[in-house]
Amino acid sequence: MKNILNILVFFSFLLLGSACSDYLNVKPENQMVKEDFWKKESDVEAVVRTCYRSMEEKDFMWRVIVWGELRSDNVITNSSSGNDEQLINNVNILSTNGNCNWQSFYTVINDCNMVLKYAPGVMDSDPNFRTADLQAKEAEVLAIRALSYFYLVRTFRDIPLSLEATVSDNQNLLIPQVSADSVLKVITKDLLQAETWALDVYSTPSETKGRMTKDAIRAIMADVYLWRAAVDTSATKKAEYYENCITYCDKLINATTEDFISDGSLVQVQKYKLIKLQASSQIFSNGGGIGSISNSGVGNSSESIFELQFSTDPKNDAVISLYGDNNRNSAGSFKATLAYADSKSELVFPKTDTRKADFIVYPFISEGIYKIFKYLGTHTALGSDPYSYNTVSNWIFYRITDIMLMKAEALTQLGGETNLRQALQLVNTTYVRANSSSSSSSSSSVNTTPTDTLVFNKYNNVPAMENLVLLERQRELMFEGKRWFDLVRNSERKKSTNELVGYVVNKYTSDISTIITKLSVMNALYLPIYENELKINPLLKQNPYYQVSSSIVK
Amino acid sequence: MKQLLKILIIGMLCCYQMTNAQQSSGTVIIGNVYAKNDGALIGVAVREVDATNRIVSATITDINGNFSLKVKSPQNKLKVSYVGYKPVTLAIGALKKFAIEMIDATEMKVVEVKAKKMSNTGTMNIPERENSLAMQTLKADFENLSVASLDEALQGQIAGLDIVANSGDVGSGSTMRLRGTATINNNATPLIVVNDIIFDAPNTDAFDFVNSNNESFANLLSINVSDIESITVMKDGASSAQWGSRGANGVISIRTKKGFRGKPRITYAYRLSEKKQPQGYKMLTGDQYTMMLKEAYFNPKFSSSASNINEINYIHNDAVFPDWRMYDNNTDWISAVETTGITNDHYVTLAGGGEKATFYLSGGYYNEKGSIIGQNLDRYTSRMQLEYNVSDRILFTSEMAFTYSNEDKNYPISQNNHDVGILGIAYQKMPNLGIYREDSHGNTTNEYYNVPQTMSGALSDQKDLPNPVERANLAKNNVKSYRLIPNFRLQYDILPRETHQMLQIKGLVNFDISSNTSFAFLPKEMFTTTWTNDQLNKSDFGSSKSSSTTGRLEIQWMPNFTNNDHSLLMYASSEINGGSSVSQSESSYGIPQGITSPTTGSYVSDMKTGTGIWKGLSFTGSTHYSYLSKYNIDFTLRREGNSKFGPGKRFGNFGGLALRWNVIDEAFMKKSQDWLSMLALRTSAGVTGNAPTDDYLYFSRYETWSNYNQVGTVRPVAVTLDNLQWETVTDKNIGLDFGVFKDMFEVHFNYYYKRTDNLLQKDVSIPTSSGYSTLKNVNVGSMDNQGWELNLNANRFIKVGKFSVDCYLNFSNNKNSILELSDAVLSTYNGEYDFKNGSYMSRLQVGNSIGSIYGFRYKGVYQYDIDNTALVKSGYTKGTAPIARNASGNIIYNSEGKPLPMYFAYGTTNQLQFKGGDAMYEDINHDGNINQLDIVYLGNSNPKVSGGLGFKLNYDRLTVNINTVFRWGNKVINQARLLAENMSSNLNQSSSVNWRWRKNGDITSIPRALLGTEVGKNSLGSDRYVEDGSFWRVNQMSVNYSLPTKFLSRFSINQLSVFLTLYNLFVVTNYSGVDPEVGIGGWGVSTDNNQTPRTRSFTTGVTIGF
Repeated sequence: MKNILNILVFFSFLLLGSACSDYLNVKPENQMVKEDFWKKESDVEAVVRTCYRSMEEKDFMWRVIVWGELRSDNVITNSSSGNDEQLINNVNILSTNGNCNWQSFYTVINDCNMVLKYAPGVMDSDPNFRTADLQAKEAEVLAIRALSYFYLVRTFRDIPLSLEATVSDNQNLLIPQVSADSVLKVITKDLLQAETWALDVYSTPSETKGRMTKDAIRAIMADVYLWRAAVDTSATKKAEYYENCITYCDKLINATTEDFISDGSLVQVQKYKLIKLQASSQIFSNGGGIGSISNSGVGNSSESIFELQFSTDPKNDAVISLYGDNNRNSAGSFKATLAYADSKSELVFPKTDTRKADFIVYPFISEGIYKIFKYLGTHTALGSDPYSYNTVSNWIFYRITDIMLMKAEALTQLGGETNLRQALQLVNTTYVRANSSSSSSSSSSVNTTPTDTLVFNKYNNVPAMENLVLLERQRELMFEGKRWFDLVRNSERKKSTNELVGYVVNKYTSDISTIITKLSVMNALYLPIYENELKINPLLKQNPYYQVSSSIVK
Repeated sequence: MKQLLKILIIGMLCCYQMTNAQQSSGTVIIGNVYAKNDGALIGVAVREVDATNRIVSATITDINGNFSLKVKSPQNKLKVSYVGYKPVTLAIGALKKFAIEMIDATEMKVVEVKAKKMSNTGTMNIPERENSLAMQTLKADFENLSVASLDEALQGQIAGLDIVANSGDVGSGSTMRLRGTATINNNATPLIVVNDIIFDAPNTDAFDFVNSNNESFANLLSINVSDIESITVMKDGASSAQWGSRGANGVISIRTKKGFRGKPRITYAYRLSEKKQPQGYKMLTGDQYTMMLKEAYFNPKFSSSASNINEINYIHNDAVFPDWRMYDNNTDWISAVETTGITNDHYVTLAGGGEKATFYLSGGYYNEKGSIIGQNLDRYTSRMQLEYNVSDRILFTSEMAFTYSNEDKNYPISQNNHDVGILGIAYQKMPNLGIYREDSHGNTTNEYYNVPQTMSGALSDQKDLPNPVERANLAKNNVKSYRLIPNFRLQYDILPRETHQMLQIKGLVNFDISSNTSFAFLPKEMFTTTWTNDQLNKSDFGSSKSSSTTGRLEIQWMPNFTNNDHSLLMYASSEINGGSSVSQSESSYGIPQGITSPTTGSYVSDMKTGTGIWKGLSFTGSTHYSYLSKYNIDFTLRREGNSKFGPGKRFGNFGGLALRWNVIDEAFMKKSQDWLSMLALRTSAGVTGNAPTDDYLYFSRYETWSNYNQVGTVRPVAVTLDNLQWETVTDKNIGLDFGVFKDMFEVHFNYYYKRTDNLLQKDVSIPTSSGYSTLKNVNVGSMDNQGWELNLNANRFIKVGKFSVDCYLNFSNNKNSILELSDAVLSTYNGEYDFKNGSYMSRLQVGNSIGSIYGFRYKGVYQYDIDNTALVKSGYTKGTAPIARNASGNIIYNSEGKPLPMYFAYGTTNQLQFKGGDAMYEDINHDGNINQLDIVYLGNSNPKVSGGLGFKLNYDRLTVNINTVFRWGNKVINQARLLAENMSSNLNQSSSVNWRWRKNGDITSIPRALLGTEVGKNSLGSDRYVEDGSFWRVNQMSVNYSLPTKFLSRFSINQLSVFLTLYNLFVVTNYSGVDPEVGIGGWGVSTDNNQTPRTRSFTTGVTIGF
């Protein structure tokens, strides 16, 4: 019996000996695990790049364009467009509309949160990764996150605010919505911090334009302040925000950089200088590199402040499918609004404005179908076909004329003759560039007022100037994903959708009265929360405008 | 692992030593062996054995019966044995010369063998009457059945095991459910164990059990049914707990045949089967079809220009429509793709052995040509089993199984993400179209005809349908697979048997190596599209290899109590297993003509590789204790670790406890014992579980991604699943065993309650504000399964002379319901009703059973339009019309005094006003509007009772076996009929649509033809297509006759039997589809998608043994 016991004891040891839990550790072969990652500066860099790369995803870019343009009067859907887009176009928006899915934005936000969570720890294992390096990276992701939230706030108003990286399923993933105001406060704070930490310049021009620099952050700041001024109810706050907006705009407008002039000497020149000739072609799709920063290839013109760098991989697929590809005989899902694009119409573009033909392909593809051209190639007045197509185009989030017109908008709101005069001057800068044939002077410097272009006595009051700025923003920034937000900002300021509806109906030929009714309330300007999201997260509250009685209790 | 190897090596050395024994030095002994009647015996084995009966040296006698042997030790014994004589054992001692007399074995007295009927629980061999677990054993007699795989043979034989063939396609397998579905996303199929080793699908980890039913059981093909000796099905948690996380769905334990002592015996069996497709729906002929289509195009718009389509216009004019000859046929596509399936099965076994070693060798070749053209399966199997008694205390066993199969399948034709198959296309293809191109004289050429891209746009549905005959004959889809399963076992009795207690250790190493290659090719000839189409000359190549290793160490102890009232058996084991798999696949298209497998030069459309590694370890202990064989207790405990979980949750504990009280043994039962042979009560409880199928879930993972501004990126791809736990299944069982007249009649009854907690669900949606849309695996809730099983056996209950009858009958019932389910899963599953034709509202409710079907109630067809003059004149009393009626059945009028029309989905974008000839749905809430509020519960896919009934009739050497299966009370969505009767597309329709509504006043149950999915709502998900799936099928009937041995011995043949099996003889059912036996889908709703039905076949064969 004792013998047997001994054997049993031996046997059980044998069993336990192999019971090493290490045996069960199996790591994936084609992926890295957190435990082995976040060790070097290059790991941080790789994920920071992912934040930009996630913005380049078709789903993200698609929404930047759909949210910013489709609801506005700039574009209408083509017959070939998807059902969801057509429903938005017809102001028949349901919470099941795929364009209400905000996932691609939160993916970017989570990528940013990951960097914020793990990058500080890398300092311990990589001695070359110092505080300043860390802060520069943090500044980038804070800015990207702020920009993403800014889009969400402008599109949905109250949204879930996630500032913590999602790493485990035991985190609370059911996040309630917070008010738009508190989101704006958070992103303002983040941007202020980012501004102090961010780099001014990166190693190459395309990196400088393609990543968050101090200037890029300032551009977002200006935009955020302009929005906050519009939505805030307190007059003093409004004024303060407009002032802040102007301050940040000025930081960019007045920015200088060192450059060699023809005699070889180094001088301070305007950093974001306007391109005079063939501006549109050079800014949006410059195949030849003329006027762009040396050797930077496509895009990255001197006018741009922050633009996502696309290449052949990944291509800007959203632009290609929404605006069209290099087949000049077919339009994308969207086409230019007939009332504005028609070659005889002067509703938005005066006859002299070169931007119309720069942004839209003439002649039309077929009756009523005008193909959007911005981003697709270069337009020159030469040759039998003035349009030539490139396959690659970057997406510009901010460029200097946008900033100038933001400043003009802020100045207008502050009122007073000086401000209005200054605003008009800013408007004239872009206007004259595009209408040079009507201008007496061929040089359109910021400091000289063109005499016979836009005259002050026609715009010497706030409402007139307001309309002018709005119109010039539409002309200059058409198809750049800005128009709808300009209109909403204007409505928020007035707390009325009347003006917005007035513009938007221009693109419709039928059912106008229904559309007027549908857009008569402020809530209708924001998109509904996606139905799947509501189902999964019971803490979310649907925008009251979209709460339908048909949701029957099951 | 190492330890195991060591033991194996030692074992092998022993063998080696034995063969070398003769060379060693020692004393030489000589002797003579003789028998009284026969004199000197030639070739008698003379062996020197040691104390444990291990052979140390051996020789055989010469022609004079003399032998000489160099013995190693005089302490050893001399063992002499010869066929037909009693073996003799002598002590050697100092003796040098022996004279050994052998005694004829036939003179032996009759020995009464007193043995108990044993049953194997997987770990221990215990007497059957002491077994407290719910299990059922089938001693198989599979030789006489021509079945390709085990599941076909098992169907209907085991209470509680519901087996449904997926389809009649060659090698398509079936869906098996033991005691219901206890899991949602995981594999719900019972675990298959062959000779105590888990028999997995080669790449379980990468396998999606929910979505690929068709293949899931095809892996069982690699067990040749003829090699099976017995099958034990372990049903309750206590019995399957020894398999821990794998045992949650029950276990089917298979034992294969072994060798035996005696003269080697060769058996050869040949089986020939012929299969035919049963009659399916009768479809429209070409003429009926064109007539129906004309109406279908005309009706929605009442415009004859809409129905002016060249292909159905009966044009006989080359100038107007050059291809007209192709569209004036009456092609029966179904019979064009059907053929007679033939199966040839050759099988040879060689078994035998002596005192020291036994062997069993088998080899088979199986060829099956499907009853649908283009299907062929070749399978070669071989199995080898060797047992070698190294000594009385050491037993070495080796097994090797090899399977190679080469299967030509039809190229899949996918519609709505599932393969409809060649037959499915044949049912849809327009019958006025010819199979082959016709030349200008109307003669058929041998070139297949495909509809050109220029076909009328209205017939676009048909444009995408391939020519099924061409598809089957020209497209390739071949899968070759190899599987090799070698294993080695060594068993050692630590204590000699003489002490009457047993202490035994066993070591086992098992390897499972498999390799699959698949190749598919779609030639250009099948398409009329442009060269750049990505389906053209498309080749898909895939290969996967996987291997796994299992090492197990077992110890068994049976103490010898001085008091014989007690008996105890203890068992413990530790097991390590691990495996890896590699797979790669490549798709390319636009391959130059004539080349099917290019090295380069085509467009690679997809390229993938995958690797997987898994590891696990487990410790199991079980105990069986019995007092007087009256009170019995079985106890099992298992601790198991799995690499799929993170460090904290890696190990799961499983186990079971079972009790059995043999009431019959009690003193108060004494009186009944003369007629009552068994009365026992059993109860058991067990915990088993399930691990998720994905790997690396407990890591937060990052992967390299594409570039941003020319520099690569790394992105996070997965959230750490820290909350993830084992899915646990708790099972309680109460059973009753009852036997009368020496177990002539046996009744086994089980009631069970099975609860699944921490139900695993894949890809559960989470708020995307987290940055992710789904979590790969989440424990989402719990559900239960409860039911009963009744199993009746009558053994030779009728016995008249040489005639006897056996009978079995079993019933089972299972009901499942969801107890708890996370809101996220519920709300995602319970989507808004989509108002579409052909779709059933999916609804899952806590407290309800899964597999419930919801839809509208179909009431027939509206006879009249609402404004039909005859109807208006009658004051709306005539027939039926789409008029809104209130709860008391009175017509609702509007302010103008006109009746309100009946609407569909009033006020939505799907709004539609019903017209005469439209389907009439019951307006449950009488609001004059058919919408989601009128959807009601229509039934459940789970059968109320299912089971089997079988008879075995014996008359002398003639045996007749009849096996039948039945299911009762389940509902099936007949999607196939829905598609064949909806008349909303230009797919071919069943001939029943000839009775469609055509004009006002028609009384019919088939609505009018309306082309377009949104123009009418005539085929909404309603009870029109929900049918009772009850059936009773005579599965097999076989007649077997074996010739008398006396007659055979003249030709030195041992055994010769012939048989005939009629398979799938007939079905009694009300189901209107081709085959009521429909598998259960992911969430438990069975939908008949018109898969190839079970074929009807007969098999004839011969078995001959030497």
